[in-house]
Amino acid sequence: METLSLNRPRYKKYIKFLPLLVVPFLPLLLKNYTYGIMLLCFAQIYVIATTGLDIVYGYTGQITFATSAFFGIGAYGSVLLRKYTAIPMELTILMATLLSALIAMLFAYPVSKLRFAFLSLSTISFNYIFFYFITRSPGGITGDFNGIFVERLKLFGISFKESHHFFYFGLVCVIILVSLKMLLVRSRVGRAFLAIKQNVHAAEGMGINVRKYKVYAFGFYGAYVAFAGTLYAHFVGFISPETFAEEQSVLYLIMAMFGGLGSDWGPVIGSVSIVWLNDILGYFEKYQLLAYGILLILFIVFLPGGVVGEGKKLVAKINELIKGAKNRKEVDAGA
Amino acid sequence: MLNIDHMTIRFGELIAVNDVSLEVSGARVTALIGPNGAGKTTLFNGISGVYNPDEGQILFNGENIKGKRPSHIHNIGISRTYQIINLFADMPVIDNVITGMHDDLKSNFFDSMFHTRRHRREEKECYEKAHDLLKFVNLEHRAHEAAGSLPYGEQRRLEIVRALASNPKLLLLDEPAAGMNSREKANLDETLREIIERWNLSILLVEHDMDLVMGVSEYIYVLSFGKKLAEGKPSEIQTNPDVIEAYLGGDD
Ligand SMILES: Nc1ncnc2c1ncn2[C@@H]1O[C@H](COP(=O)(O)OP(=O)(O)OP(=O)(O)O)[C@@H](O)[C@H]1O
Ligand SMILES: [Mg+2]
Repeated sequence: METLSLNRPRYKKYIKFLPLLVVPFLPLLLKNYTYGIMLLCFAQIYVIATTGLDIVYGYTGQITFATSAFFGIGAYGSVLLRKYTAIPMELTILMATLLSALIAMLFAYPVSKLRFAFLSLSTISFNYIFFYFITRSPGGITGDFNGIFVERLKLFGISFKESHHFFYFGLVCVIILVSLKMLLVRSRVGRAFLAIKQNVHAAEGMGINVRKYKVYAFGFYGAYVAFAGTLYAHFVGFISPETFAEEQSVLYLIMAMFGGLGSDWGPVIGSVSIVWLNDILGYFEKYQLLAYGILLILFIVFLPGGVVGEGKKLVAKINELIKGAKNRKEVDAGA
Repeated sequence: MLNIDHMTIRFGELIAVNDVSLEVSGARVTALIGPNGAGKTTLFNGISGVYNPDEGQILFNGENIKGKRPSHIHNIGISRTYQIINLFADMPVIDNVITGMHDDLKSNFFDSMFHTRRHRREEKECYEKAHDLLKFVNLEHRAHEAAGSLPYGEQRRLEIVRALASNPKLLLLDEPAAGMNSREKANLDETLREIIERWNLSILLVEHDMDLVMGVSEYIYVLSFGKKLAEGKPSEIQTNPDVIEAYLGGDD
């Protein structure tokens, strides 16, 4: 399978990406539907976050329910730095991202010894502790339950306040960050992540320091998710604690799982679909959480591979059928 | 090379390895035999860092490796296979082998994220090396299949080359012939000799197949109920009354 794709002419490999060329023109196509452009901007932010989640969960196999906490570390980190210091926004975003990566690694170091259930429990606690702090902050610097107004995104003198401007900035970030992840997982480090997911004992036995690589995976996760959080805060212009509550962490998992874990396009497909779906469900606010719960169960049961995983299975099946038919024809012709 | 000095491993009341000392060195096969439940696999786990022995010392080329991480022990030159197959089942066969080279590759995070020239050169080299290794055990045609989909005997051979991928100085084989058919078993004999010649390493072999053991090993240790029962050359072991008693008295 792999060797075949290597022998194919290069351009053919990229043909399937042609439809993506329409993406940069979306804001023009949706010119009269600003709300739609705004949804796309949110989708971009979630693509970045779920891409990070996919590194730690999809590739390394470590489940985490703390995504909205790291999203919040990015958001509050940059916002508070901006509010209480004179550091420019370009740097506060960077600092909050790195701080989150550091916290994620410090968190992962002790918990990376834990097995599945205990690891997930500890991530849940982490999210609760974070929520506790932002709602009961010293001197109320986070605005506690009321939330806090935030300066809108302006980098190197360019304002990305409007959706159709933010869209292009978001697109560049998505392309860079998704590409970096694609490269990372196709490397020595990515192989170590996958080995840990598939068989921890064999991974350690083959010379991979499992703890070290779990810590690294969490570092990437912390950075990606927090960076998305900084964009969220400065794009929306207001943050309040419920965005960073434990329930929201499940939403990222739904996105990652719907798209397909451990895949290049899973986080993209998952985030865009769920943002759109979320918007529809938003009209039924009361039942939103119920709907997520049901969705999650449905995915696990019927779409364990997500859109990408199940799609690949389908393609493989079809190929096999075609191959089978061809072989039969050849046999018939030979006879 | 490897010196085990009075190693004891307990599971609660049960003493799985009881005050065992042994030595492995030279480019040859040393065998570790004994009835089921004698403690052979537990001793392997004690050497490779899966368990931290309760007592004793393990010296590998002078370094005390007792209590070290399995990855560290692997990376200083002790590689192993498992009695219960322990592959990366959903990974392609070739990636299983390359994962065994993890520590020898020098690409760091930067190289990995940006696919620098070093990364590309190393990837190319390790794919070539992995193909070579697969050829060595006649698995080249399986390179891109999922490891878990291979027949049992092929999975055992894959475990052996995955362990060899890191160029170890000592190779621990836990029942490599289990599940192999008679032809595969016959080839294994030859394969072990080739491995020693090509890699110039030492093998510690746990195996129930006595024809294989007596044919390839130069020195044999016998365990029974966790204790060392006997040691010596194959001819000595074959005629040792205690060993005969342990095997006949056992229920296998
Ligand atoms: N993790 C464990 N916890 C408790 N007891 C164990 C554990 N591992 C092994 N044992 C026990 O220790 C003893 C030695 O087991 P071990 O697997 O080392 O034997 P072995 O010589 O490899 O046997 P076999 O030839 O059947 O593979 C057995 O009585 C076994 O039940
Ligand atoms: Mg055993």
